[in-house]
Amino acid sequence: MPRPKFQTLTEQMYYILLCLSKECCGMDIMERIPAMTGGRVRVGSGTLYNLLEQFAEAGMIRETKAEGRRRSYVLTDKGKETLSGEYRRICAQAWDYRTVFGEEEQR
Amino acid sequence: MKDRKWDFIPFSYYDRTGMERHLEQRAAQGWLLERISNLGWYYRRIQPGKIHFTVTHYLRASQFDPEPTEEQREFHDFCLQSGWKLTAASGQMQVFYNEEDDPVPIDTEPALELERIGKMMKRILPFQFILLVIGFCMGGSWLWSLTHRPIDLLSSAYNLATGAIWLMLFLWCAADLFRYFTWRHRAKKAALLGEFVPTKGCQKLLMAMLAVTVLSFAYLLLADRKPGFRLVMLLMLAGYALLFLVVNGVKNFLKRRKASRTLNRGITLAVDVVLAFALMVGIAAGLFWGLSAGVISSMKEILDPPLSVEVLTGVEDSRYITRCQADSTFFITQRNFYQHIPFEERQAGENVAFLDYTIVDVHMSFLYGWCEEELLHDRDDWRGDDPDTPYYQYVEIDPTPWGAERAYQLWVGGEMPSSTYLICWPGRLVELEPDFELTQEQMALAAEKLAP
Repeated sequence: MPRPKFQTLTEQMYYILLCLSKECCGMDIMERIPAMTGGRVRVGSGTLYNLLEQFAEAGMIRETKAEGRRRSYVLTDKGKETLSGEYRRICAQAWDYRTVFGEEEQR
Repeated sequence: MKDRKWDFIPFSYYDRTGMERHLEQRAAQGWLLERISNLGWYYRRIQPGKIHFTVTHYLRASQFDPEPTEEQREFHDFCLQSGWKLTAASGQMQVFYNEEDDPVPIDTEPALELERIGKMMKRILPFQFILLVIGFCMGGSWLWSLTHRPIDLLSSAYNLATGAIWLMLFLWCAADLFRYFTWRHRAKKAALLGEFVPTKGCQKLLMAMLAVTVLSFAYLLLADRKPGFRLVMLLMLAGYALLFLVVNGVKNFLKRRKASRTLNRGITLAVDVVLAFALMVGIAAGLFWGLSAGVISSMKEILDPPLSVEVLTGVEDSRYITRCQADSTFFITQRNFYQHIPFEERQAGENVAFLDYTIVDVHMSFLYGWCEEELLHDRDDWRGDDPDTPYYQYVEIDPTPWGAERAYQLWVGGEMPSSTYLICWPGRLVELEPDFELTQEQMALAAEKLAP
């Protein structure tokens, strides 16, 4: 069954929103995410473009300025809420993992 | 050495994997896509090498846009940032290439790709379903006719050619829709796991359909014996080609003149509708003219029919005329002969003999039984007082006088034999309908003239 849109975030959605905690333009995100994750996460240009549009439509980010075709965005309160919800979910997962395997194995 | 090249490979709309593979193969051969039009894909020569391609769809684009919108250019900028250069675009379809060894794909989120292809296909699927239904009805009725009324169907080059086209259309639509929904089902499951599923269209079937269409038209033009009909067909094809070129020309002209999408769409559609209507009127007028002038009828007057009233009765009468209508394919040849004296040449109360017969030569033995059944049951729809029994029924008779394998005589209302016979020789069926009773001698004479 498909999950409701943005109720949980994929890794790419999560990092895009994380980058937008500070105002930045779409194209910068493409460079920031690999830098932030040590190259572990890579977001395709089409995916980024579509997600920015969908986040904006969902009110999770808002456009702050447009310089030619370079548009900048920043996270809205709704976006922050979604992101922190996702963070709590990831933390809960990490907590559950530690509960099962203990701290030892984590090291 | 040529530095430009063209090809026309019909891909299913959603088959991005097939298109990308084809473009990668072309690049490995030294050809890079540079333009897409309704007539095919155009390439320019490059150094052969490994180039990655991505075929994607920008859903807000339109084939009527004079140039890419600012949003679309922004999308192109995004792609360029990660090394993907736009090489060609046609309407919503955008083709990018990347020369890096291991580029980040344009799409990295399978659910988004699935959603986008789903939206794109939503516009196409209704048309494909309509074609499927048309193909099913036409192809189905063609198949029904093949077993129930094979003579008219398989003796006519037109019926044979159009039937093959309808059947292929149905097969392609059914296979393509099946492939799409199968892919979608698998892609939905895979998207939940963050995985992509390669598309697989029906390219070979589509190629086969195009080949069958072209071959059918070629066969129709070559095999049809009615020169007027051939002319009408050629004019019709030329009309369709002209319609296609004019509509495309208008659209491209307006794009060059930077007309807005709405204006371009409105004018192009108007031109399309008006020209299509004019073409239909032209075809109808051409057919009407051909039929009324007698140039596209296969009916003609002949002087030496295989069998005549004169031969059967021994009475010579110069007023007799014989009309023959013949149709032939490599399956069946059907010839109908009708000999009569025109009404205006008959004297009041004069009783004259008429002769009507149809010779069916079956060139492929597996069709013989179907043809015999058709002739035996051709009149089954006629009902008399008893609604459960056909009014006209063939009854098997002794075939010896005819020197045939089987012979039948038509009975009327179950109680009165008529002068209509169906005679079955190897490879040939003859339905003989004189309007007078035949004697044993006349039967032998007719058999001598009509047997293969």
